[in-house]
Amino acid sequence: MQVKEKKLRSLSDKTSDIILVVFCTVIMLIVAYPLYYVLVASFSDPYDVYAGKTFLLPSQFTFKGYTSVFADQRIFSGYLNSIKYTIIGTIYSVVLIFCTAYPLSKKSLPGRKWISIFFIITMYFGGGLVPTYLVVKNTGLLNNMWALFLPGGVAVGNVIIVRNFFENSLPGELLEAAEIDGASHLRTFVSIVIPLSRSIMAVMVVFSMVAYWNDWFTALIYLKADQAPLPLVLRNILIRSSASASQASTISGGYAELNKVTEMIKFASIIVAAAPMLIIYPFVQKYFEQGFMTGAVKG
Amino acid sequence: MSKGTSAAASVAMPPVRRGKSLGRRILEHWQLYLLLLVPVVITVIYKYIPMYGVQIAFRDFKASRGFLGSEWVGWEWFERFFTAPTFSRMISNTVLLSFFSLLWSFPIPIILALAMNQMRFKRYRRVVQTVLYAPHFISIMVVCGMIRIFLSPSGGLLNLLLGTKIDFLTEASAFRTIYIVSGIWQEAGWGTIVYLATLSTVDPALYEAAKIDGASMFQRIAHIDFPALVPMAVLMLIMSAGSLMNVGFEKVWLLQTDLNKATSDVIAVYVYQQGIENAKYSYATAVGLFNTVINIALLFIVNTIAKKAADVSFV
Amino acid sequence: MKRNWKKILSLMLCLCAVCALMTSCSSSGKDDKKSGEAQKDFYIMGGMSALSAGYDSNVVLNELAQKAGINIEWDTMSDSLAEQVNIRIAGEQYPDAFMGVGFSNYDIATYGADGVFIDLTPYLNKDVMPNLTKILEENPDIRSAITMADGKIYGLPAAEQMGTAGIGLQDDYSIYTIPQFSMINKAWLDKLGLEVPTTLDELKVCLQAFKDNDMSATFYGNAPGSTIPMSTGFDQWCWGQNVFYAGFGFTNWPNDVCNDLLLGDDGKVSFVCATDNYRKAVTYFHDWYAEGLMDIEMFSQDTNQLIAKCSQGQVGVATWWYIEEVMGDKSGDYVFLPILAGPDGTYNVTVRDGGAVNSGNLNITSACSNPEALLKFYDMWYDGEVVMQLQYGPKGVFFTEQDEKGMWISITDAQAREKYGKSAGELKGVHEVYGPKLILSKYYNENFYMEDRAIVRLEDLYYKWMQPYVKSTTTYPIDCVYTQDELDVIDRYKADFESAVSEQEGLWLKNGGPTDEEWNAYVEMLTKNCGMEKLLAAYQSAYDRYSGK
Repeated sequence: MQVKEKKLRSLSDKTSDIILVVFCTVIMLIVAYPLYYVLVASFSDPYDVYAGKTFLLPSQFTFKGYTSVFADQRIFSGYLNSIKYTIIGTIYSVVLIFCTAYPLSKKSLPGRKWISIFFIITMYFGGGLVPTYLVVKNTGLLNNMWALFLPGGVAVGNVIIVRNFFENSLPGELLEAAEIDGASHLRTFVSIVIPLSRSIMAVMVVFSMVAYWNDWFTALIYLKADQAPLPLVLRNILIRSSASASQASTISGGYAELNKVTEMIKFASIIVAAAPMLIIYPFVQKYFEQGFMTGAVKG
Repeated sequence: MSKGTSAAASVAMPPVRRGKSLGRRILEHWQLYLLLLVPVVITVIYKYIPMYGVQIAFRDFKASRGFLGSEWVGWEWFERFFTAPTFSRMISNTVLLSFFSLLWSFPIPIILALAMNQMRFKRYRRVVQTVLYAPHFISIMVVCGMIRIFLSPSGGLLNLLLGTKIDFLTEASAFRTIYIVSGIWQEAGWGTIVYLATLSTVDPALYEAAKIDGASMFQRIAHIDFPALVPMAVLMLIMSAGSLMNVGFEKVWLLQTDLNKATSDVIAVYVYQQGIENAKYSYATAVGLFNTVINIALLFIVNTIAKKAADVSFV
Repeated sequence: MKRNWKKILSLMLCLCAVCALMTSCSSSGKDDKKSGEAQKDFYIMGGMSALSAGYDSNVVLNELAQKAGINIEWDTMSDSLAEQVNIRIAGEQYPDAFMGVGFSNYDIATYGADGVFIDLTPYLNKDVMPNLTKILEENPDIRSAITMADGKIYGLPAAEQMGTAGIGLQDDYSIYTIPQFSMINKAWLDKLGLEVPTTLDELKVCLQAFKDNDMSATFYGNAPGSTIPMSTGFDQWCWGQNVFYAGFGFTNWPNDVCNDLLLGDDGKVSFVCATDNYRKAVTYFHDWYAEGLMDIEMFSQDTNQLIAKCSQGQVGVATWWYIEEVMGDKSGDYVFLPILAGPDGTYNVTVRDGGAVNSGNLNITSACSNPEALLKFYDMWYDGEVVMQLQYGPKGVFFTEQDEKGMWISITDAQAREKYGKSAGELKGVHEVYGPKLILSKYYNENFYMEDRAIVRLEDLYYKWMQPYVKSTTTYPIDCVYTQDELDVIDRYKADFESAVSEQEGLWLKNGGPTDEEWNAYVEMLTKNCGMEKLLAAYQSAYDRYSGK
């Protein structure tokens, strides 16, 4: 043990940097290869994909998957709807999570434990689709965008993460000082806690954003067809394409050819749907970086 | 260290101030209750009101008879589940699959977060992070399609590399590995996000001091980063334990073949298959309730341990 | 910081207001029924083809509605129909009728008994439904298939009697009678100097030769070692291995009633998966699997993987309906295999039933105050020329002209692509209406010609399989009506039973046939845990009633 520790100490920062870079590069390559594969597959003939001919390069290069996806006009309204839902939903969710998490992090709050339990119960017991639908209908939210957000209630798992962050990662002395200065709870929350919690807020933004971006089932149940978000539109395109293939097989033949298109759409949809989230992510990332907080505390 | 100071703060400010009446204390916190008002109202309306639906676990739900009119059958669905031909196999498969998943996929995001946090080349770090995060966006259907292609005995990459002709999807012994490894690939990078955010709150002055003391990178990780992560890591562990019975149905279903059922036959898939026949909502709800009870029991146990060992609590 | 304050506060206030609003307007949402005048406007909910754009501008439906003097508001969907229907029924928000939902007999019986669906027998007379009444008189079997165990009829009949009689052949075999046709690469056989096999043992020799000579590589120039002598799925609908079991006296195709259920000529039901023949079959084919003659991937591959291998010329023997569909460019090299005799020199094909009549595609609910008007509209569907347009598309679109016999001729694939930019099949998908379409066999001889693909398939079925190889067409009737008790037994045991059987079948094929001990344990498990005896009793009593015993 002693020897090992000494050895570690003797490693210079440079050596450890190299080790880190190598480690991260290896991991990244392992993770990246299947991603590359999806990209290649989206430009290839699906039967060659299934025959294992596209491990390195596309086979029978084609844009058919993408043209089939973008041939459908609804894809554009799908994008617009999704962007709208994601922005509004994310703001709503994050506000709600923070409003819930902060009081629950205050150990002095009377009834704190019972309020926590009140929320946690909803993580474990749910009434199911039909009763929820009836409440949504009775509250007048059918065909209304808010039906995507409100029935989810509060994201309790996220609330607990944020609460835990408030309890363990915020500098206690600052909050204490504010309290001694006679700042009200809301004032502390808004002017000290929130600025200090930008990193966890960024996490909540990413979590909520991605959840709303990927959700299609809620929209399918509560919204009209022209309100469909992107993943639902993509799902529709896929279902139509496979219906085309099976229809053709009964009357005119060519199941195999049309089925190819369905398979290409599957891969192309992934790229089409994931691209915006991958473009946005690097902008959120800076909030997770070392030293980011110093500026916030001082400012 | 932030953890230390906040603990100290809570000791310095005991939550219960003697001498003040409950009414007075409630009044003092009115702003906090105001913050909670909207979340509570929404939760009552959209979560608590529909909860009457849970009772169909004890009824023979027929849509035409509604939630209150369907015949009360008591524990019948539970008995039926407990006497299902593959009941014990489903339970052990579900628990083992979840347990091994947790065992492997819990530490990996922590290790990755610690490593990336120490990376000094910011640009490169961002590239790595984005790549690790990307697989989260690939649908389960396509992931399983890729698994089929990679593992195929005719032209699959793995068989080519190993020089074998094995159909891994029909080997019961390979199922858990396939499920867990692909799960790690897909979700490990995603799982680092919350840890990275936690690490970003560590005071850089601590690193400077450690460097002056001649601490190596590994020592900095061990003595500064790791302790800062413990509360969040413990919380994540508690939360995972509380959802141990919730194995995702879609992925298992897509990877299941008749020949790997010995390990892939899990509760979620069974419920789905039973549900197809005559839409057995009652049966599915009853099994869901059974899972919930186990989940809560596990949550309670792990929470108690965590509270004692690390002063982190779920409730 | 101040601004943040205000923002958050105003947002919270907004949310509060929204909540208050929502709770206040939670009144009941049930539609008021129009009183006084007879109902002329109807609201119908149901399923539609994924390719359909909805029925609002469907010329055929609009014309019918006009004739009947009613207006219909359509609420149709192709995704998540079951959830939506369930929500409506559980929430007691019924449309006037459900159309094209495809309720099971279990649902129909329950919803009928509970008063969601109304009994239609009072309306099945010459005044309200002349067309349907005539059909039911001429076809008592259709009437019995839609009559529930309580003697009532809760839905209008639908069926597609697509069978060999529809193309003018003597016996009527449904297109679903045999789902798998097997095929072999004749070019490889010729190259190797082999005959098309007639027994399983001969086929085994051929497969071995394909493998030994690596025909995929040597004949088509694929990668060395890529030959797969035989590739199928496992217990799959049109691409399973089941057709080869005929050499052991049965073919356990996937079945709509219950897998592995057999009806003997003596009217007794049994499960083939508990017989000695079945045991012999799995033992026999394990050798093929172990020797690498059957595709090692047969238990896990999907159709894409199969078609990928077949179309690249790696596969010697496969199953599907049409050769060109799986073999692609290589189709010319393949011929259908005959039914192969087993080691004892005999074979037997057990057929399945298809084209069942169901009554779950038009069900009128208690919300409808004028069922008579609605049923008059639906009676017009029971006419050959109307139903053909509802099934395929309107005259002038899908049906282009009438020949000298007055038969309608449908658009060809080439014409459809030229005129509408889609295949004839897709054109059908766009115009098809899901609902109570009863397509009688005679319509194919009186009103319109069956589609080309179906004709090819039925001719193959008749001449290549049914005529030469099928001795008995006795099969468990798919439109058997069950009592609630029987339905409960089936509901409880069927899924577990089928799942246990197919898992064990797969394990034996892969790992080696059952020892006496294993076999006895298996039969005991089926009886004890999977309710085999109870299932048999339920199917037997339902059949006895059906056959009038």
